[in-house]
Amino acid sequence: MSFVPVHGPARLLLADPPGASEVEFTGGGDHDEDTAPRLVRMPMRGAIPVLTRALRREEVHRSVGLLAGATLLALRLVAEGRVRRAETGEAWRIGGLSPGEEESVRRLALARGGAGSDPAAVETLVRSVLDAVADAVTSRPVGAGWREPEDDDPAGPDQVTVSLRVEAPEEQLEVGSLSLVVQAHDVEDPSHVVDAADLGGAGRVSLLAGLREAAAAWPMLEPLLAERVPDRLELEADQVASLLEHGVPALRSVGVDVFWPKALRAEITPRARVVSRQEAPLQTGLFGPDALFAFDWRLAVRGPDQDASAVDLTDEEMAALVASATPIVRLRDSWVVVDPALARQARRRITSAPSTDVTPAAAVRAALTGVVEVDGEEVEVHPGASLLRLQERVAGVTSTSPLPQPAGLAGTLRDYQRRGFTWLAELTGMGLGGCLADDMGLGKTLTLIALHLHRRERGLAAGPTLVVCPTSLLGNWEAEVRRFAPGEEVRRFHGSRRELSGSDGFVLTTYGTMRRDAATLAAHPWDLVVADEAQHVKNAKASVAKQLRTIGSSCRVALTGTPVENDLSELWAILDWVVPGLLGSRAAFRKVWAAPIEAGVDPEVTRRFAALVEPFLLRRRKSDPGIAPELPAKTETDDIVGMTREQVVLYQTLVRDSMEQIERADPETRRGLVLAMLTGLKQICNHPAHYLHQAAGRLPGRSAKLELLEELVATILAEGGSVLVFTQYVAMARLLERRLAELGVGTLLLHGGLAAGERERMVDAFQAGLAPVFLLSLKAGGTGLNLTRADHVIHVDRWWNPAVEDQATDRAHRIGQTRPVQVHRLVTEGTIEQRVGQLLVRKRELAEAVLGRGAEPALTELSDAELRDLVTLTSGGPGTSDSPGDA
Amino acid sequence: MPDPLVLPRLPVARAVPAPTSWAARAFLRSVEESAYDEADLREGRALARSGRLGSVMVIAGMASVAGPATAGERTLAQVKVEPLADWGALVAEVARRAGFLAALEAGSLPDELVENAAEAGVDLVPDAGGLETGCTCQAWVQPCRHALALLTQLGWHLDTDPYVLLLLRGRTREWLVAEVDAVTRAAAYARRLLDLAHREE
Repeated sequence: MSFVPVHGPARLLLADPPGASEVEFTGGGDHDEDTAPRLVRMPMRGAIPVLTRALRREEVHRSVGLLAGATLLALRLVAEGRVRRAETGEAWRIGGLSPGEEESVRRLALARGGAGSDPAAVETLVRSVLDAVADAVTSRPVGAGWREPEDDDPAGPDQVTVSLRVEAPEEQLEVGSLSLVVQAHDVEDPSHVVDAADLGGAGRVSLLAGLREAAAAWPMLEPLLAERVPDRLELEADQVASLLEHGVPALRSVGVDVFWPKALRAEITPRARVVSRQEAPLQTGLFGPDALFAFDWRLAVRGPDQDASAVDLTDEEMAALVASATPIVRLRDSWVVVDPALARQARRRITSAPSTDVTPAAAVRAALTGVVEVDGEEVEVHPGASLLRLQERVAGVTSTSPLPQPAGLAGTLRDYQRRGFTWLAELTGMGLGGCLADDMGLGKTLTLIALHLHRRERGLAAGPTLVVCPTSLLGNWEAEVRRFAPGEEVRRFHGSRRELSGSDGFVLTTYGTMRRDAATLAAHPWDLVVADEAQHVKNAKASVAKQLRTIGSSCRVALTGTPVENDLSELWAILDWVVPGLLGSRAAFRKVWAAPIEAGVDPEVTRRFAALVEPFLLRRRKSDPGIAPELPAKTETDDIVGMTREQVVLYQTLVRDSMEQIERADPETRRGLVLAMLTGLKQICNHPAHYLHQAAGRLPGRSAKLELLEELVATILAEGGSVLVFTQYVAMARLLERRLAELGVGTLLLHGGLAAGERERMVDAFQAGLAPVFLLSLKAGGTGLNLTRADHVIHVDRWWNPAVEDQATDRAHRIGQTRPVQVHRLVTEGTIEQRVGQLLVRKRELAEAVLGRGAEPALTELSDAELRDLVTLTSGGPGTSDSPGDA
Repeated sequence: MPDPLVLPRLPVARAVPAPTSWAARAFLRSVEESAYDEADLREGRALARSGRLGSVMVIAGMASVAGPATAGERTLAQVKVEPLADWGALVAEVARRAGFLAALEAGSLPDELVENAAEAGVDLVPDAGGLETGCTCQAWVQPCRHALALLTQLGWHLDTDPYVLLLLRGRTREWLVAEVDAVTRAAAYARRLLDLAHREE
């Protein structure tokens, strides 16, 4: 405006309405080459900025000073709302002045009027200027010549929503305060944003409505409503804290966004780092009892750039942040807004425990999930060096290249068994454990024996291995250990024999004995504790599970043939024993994992859980593509079982009584007596109720063989398989039918008494999957049965004729059968069943030549001594069995 | 003449909750004072909640309502309200705080605004003398029960819509919003010019 002359006299050209008045400036000759005075006439609205600026100039004409002073006063009064409509017409004028303001008007007239002027006239002139300015500023002149650039678009949007823009100049940040600028967004085009100060008309009314709602949501905004123009609000440090904690979410709930300047968008997040406190953690067991880990909790700052990476704060920076009285902190040459909740958390961590000891299991959990719970909040774990190493090792256990099989192992591990063995060796090598949940028949026992030998040969074992299993599997374990690890001592801790001192190698016990004698077992230093058929401990509250937990060892392995991964609480019970603390407490597990996974809302939770559990759970199915080709078409095992006390007594009595008679009998009656004894002994092995003809007698707890059969059937059913159960005796088949019905298992019973049509219907029913268990009591040859649906065959008792047994087995295993078949021969330990079986194996030729039609006729030809040798109960004895009711 | 403000017809009501705003209570006090005796007032109130009145119509400075028929002819009661003494002062008071207009728009008349206006010499609520009633019913005294019913309903209405009161005192909502807008905009503009002048110093 320098072209407007202010050093010459100026005058007000009053008009009606006063807003249309003009100001005439006169230029003096001394500054211009042009000697003629220059006249510049401006409308009032345009003259206002010229006049307000003119006061700063030194050589201002007195008349210009008067006009300028009056203009400034007018603006102050208008800014205070001191405008009124004129009595008549549309014009605005200054009005409603307080006494103090009236005084200001008079004083201005006196001060600017100058000597010799008429005070009344000057005051009249001042009041004219006031009204002219008031009208020029308040009325919206039509076609006015001059406008401020900011004073754009007088219409503006009619309907708006509110948002708040944070402004924070450096000097405000220094004292921890911020300004909120009220913005209006056009409802029709939210990207059209206007500051509240620039909004008028309907848009302003709409903005006020939104602001009223916002202030109801976050009352800190109320001072805005007390303003004449609710354009900006300065927040003190504590109000900034309130904005961060309460304001932002509350405002968002009513649709009011808060926008932060880019410079303040640096983000602070907590991160935890897991550090090992051991000198050389990987040389010994990472997770031995002495293992020490610590969480180092600290904050990390991520710069305002989206792609910047987070940088951990130093201890000094953390301390400065915690000590700050305001949520706005200067960090690394930039300002950062710290969420007060986070600052409180940091304060707690720093004052109480900057780094907290953590259990090895929690360290593993952190390594595998990438998050850790600190003070009830999930915090991202920054993988420190030791954690990374741990993560790699644990996550890599399933892919480690296979170890050579132990030298002491008498037998060859199949490929998948070697992988399982390597996996267990790796986990136990780290002081952790695992749950091997392969299908039945894949050789879990053998794999475990290999692990035992491996730990011994590598010098890792610090004691014997304790195997806890169902009673029905004791014999089997012992037989398998003797067979595959002939050099290892194996003893039972069971019945009357409960001697642990000097034990090395394997100690076998049952869940029942373990429960009653956990104290003794817990006092012994074990290297490895194995829970076979670990689904027995799935109820973590049961005393079996509780007692099992009291037995310490270097590492733990669970074996189970049932798919535990489908039942989360069962999985928790097993894994919590194998790697204590991995899944957290039962309640925490339900909250953190089970409930969200069952609700199925967040696939990320399921994924993280899988990552957490995967390294500790290995399950292969017979049908897996990598497993099936390795399996032989037919696997035959002798499943060795013991006897209950009742069985032993019956057996010994029968042997004693029969042998006395046989030794005194003549050849004709002798033959009959021998056959009767053999039959009786086989029935006792099957079940006392069978021998005693108790068709309705109590069944559970009296026969170890029946218990094993129940185990087998349960496992087979859990796998979704089906099974043929062969017995020579219809009576036994009926007992089994009754017992399985009690257990809710559907069966079909085929015996020689059925008509051909009936048999066919039953075979069809089985093949159609109507019942998973098919009980057969007949010689299978020549009946043309095709039972290829079955993938398991159980021989409850022995035919002592390999040809007959093979024929029976072949009912299930046929050419074209895609699934491998597993054959279980139930053999009672130390009895005639086992002895004849051994005889058959040893004298294969003899068996085939002499026993071609079955062993029994030939057995009648044995001498008394040979016969006594064959039937006398050996090794087992009463001690081998649990009393009835033992678990 | 602008379109009249037509207030929703009030259905029959056993009891009407007492008004919550100070202004509505003050208005109803003025109505009580204007009544000739207690019986008229009771009858007027009963009629107000009888559901037998038509819609109340308000135009600047006055209101009217059709009442029940007497002798085959419908009565028509009306009231003229004394205009507000100084609208400029009221505009200035509303413009003083953004929250005042926000509250008016949300249907409430802040007590603080009423008090501030009174201090500035503006009584928003007319006193009994400011209510001049008339009716076609040829009653001996005014306000008759029809007029009292009209006044009572006006009191209830203005409890939830302060613009009813302002219109009775002579000005529409649109007028007030525009005036407040002009004053506010001028204030904002003047403030900006002052800031500009100060910044350049």
